[in-house]
Amino acid sequence: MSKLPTSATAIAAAFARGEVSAREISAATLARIAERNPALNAYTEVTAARVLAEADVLDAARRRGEPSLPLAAVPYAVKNLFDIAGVTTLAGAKLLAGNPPANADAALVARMQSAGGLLTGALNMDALAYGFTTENTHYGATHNPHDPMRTAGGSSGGSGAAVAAGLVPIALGSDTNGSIRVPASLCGIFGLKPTYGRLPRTGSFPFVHSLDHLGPLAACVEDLALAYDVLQGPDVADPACAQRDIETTTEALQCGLEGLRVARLAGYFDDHAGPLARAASRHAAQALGSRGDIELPEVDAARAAAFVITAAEGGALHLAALRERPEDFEPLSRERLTAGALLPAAWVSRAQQLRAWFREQALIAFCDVDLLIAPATPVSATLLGQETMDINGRILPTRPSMGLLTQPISFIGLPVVVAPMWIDGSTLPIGVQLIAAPWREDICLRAAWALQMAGVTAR
Amino acid sequence: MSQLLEAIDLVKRFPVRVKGRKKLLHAVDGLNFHIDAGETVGLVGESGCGKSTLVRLLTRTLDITDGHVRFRGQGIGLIAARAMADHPLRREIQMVFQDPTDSLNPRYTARQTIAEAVCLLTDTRGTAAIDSAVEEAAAHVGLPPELLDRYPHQLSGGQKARVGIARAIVVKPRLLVLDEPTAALDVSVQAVILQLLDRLKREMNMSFLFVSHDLNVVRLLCDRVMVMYLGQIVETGPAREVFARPLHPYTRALIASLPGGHGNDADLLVGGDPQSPIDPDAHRCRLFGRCPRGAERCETQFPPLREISRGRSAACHFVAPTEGDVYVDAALALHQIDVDPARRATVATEFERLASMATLVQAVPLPDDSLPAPQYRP
Repeated sequence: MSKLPTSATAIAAAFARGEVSAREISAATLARIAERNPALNAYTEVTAARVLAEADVLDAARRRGEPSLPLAAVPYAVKNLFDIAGVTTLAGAKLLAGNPPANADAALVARMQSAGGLLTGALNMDALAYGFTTENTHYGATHNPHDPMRTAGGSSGGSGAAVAAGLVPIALGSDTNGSIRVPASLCGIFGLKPTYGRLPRTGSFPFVHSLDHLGPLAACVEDLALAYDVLQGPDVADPACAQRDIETTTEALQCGLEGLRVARLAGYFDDHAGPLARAASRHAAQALGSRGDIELPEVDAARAAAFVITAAEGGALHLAALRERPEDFEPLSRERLTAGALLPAAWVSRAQQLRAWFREQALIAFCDVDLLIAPATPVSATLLGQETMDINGRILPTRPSMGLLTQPISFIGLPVVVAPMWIDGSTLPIGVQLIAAPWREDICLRAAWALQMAGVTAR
Repeated sequence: MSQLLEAIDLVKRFPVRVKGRKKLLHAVDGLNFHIDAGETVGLVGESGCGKSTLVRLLTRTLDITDGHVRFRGQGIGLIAARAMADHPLRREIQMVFQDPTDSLNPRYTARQTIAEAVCLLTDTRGTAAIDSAVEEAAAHVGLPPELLDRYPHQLSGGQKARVGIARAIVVKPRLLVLDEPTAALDVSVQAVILQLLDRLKREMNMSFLFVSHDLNVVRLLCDRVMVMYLGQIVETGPAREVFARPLHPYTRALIASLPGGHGNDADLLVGGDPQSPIDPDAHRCRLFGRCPRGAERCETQFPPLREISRGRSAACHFVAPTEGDVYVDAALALHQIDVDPARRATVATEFERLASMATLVQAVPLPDDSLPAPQYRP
């Protein structure tokens, strides 16, 4: 084949038809990474031997006439908080660099491998997943493929950049307060943060147990759905993982928005969005036939509660190391983690109470609508090193404020797909959140597919 | 960090005659402080507060009246100022003087000035070795080698300042004392010299004491600041914290008076003359009469310098630690987290941000049945 397919769906189909070998795909992918990664700093480790070995296994299976797998020969990479057998799990932190290599793959990596995926390596992130810009003091910043002076977002910034630059069609990331959705928005790709408890976190480095989610990022909706479908399934090893059966979404994509009631989130989500973000949310609402705007109550308090729980649980998780090895922490988040470790229990408990109440308010809203639209980030990609940003005349610190619009949603575990939007006159993409009721990832994906079909998600 | 220099109850009084009667001018009045190895400390205060006297006591060019000075653990307070010229300590503590023109010998070239320090204070001998030491120091301070053979009148103010700094660092002292290092320079040159000092601070393994009435110098360069008023230290703490939240009314006034500063007019000192440093009333706060908060207690009860929060002290009856400070200090100790004093301010700031978030959460009236609160029924 002269020109190799690039999307996951096309690669798996071409492999199944015998038009391309996994060896060819993996060799081309490694060449692409070698050429483009130095400027992006998306990878912290390229697992070249593994990708070639996995490819040879697939090619051999095909020669034996075995049936093709859903992700056959599809290259992917994972944020470096996922365990990869034989590789030290860094979670972006120098603190963990001295740990022994993981002895087994994370549950989701194992599922990708069983589905035929080819693991190309581990991706850069904010240290310990605490940040929204992947400005990692120890491992360097990841650069935005649309403008190397700008951030790729974070904390799954390496995942966003690797997919946006076309190094791999699919990457896995984690999202505690927006860490899949922010890089998807700033890099102009699709990202899925599933319902809290949908995908098992077994074998991934935790940050905030009660808020941590894992999920895929992809360049198109079909690939996102394909990855999500193979990642699903119960796992008793993660106590927060709901023991639900696989509910596949790929076939339902073409249903489009038939029968779905769509509304746009206003109020807080407009107040904390810059002009471009508001335009993206309105544009998406129009394309999806929104019936109007609705508001959720006390969103600012919900975001604040997510902030409190994150700092408290994150600080508690790293308490021993904060005592013993403070010098090995990321200076950009160390003091916030330290402060988090000191929080009175009553504040954290109250934040969890608010979480239960806020979740009820959202569920009430979902009695009347099936899909909610909100901007994903207040602004498009900011400059590396930029300390503050202006949102409607208010000067806010860049790093914590990039999650203003994602935090209230992940706080109550709702499933979200971020779809990229290109607003006329802007040279940078910005994402919208497509939010559904718990366990309705299918609705988020159908809406994203409808936007993709409407042609508003491409430049 | 280990203590490099320590002052204990340090006192300097000058005998004066007022209307024919013998009195004592309390120039330095019972100071206690330390400078750690590798630390950069700023000493600020208005003219006449005793800064310059203190510098002369520390560099042992003025005999002390009472108290102790320790350098690397050894008492140096009893070294007579007259004996200092030949004392090994002279190499360890070097000065950079305020006016580069006054402090350079007009008959010496830059090279001779720097080389003189090498010859007097080190064992380096031989023209080649001395030249190499001189050129290394010149390179450190950004003085081009072709200027080394010029006389002071052939050098600009900034270049003369560089010669003065090179002369001090060429002997590799442990403590560099800089007395108003930029005061005599043009504003444009000041910025360049500040950048140079900031670089030296990072590159050279020594402690710095910056004496200045210019708060911006101290803010830019120092880890820690000591504020002096009428012979006493009225406030000390990490520079960033002191500038962000000054505690003592005098420090608040200094910061409020900065052009374009964030200070509040209410913090400015009220009119009235400063008290005299001659035989001052031992029971009265030195700021009484000028202080916007002065009360009866301040006239009858002297406020000693006391620790307000970890690493921060102030001498004022009205300064109390905030609830957040008390909590953060106690919680850090309880959690056995030892935070570098320079980072403690950021922890406190982050804690305040989280506290304001928690306040936002608590302001939401939740229904009684919200989990996980217990239910009390009558």
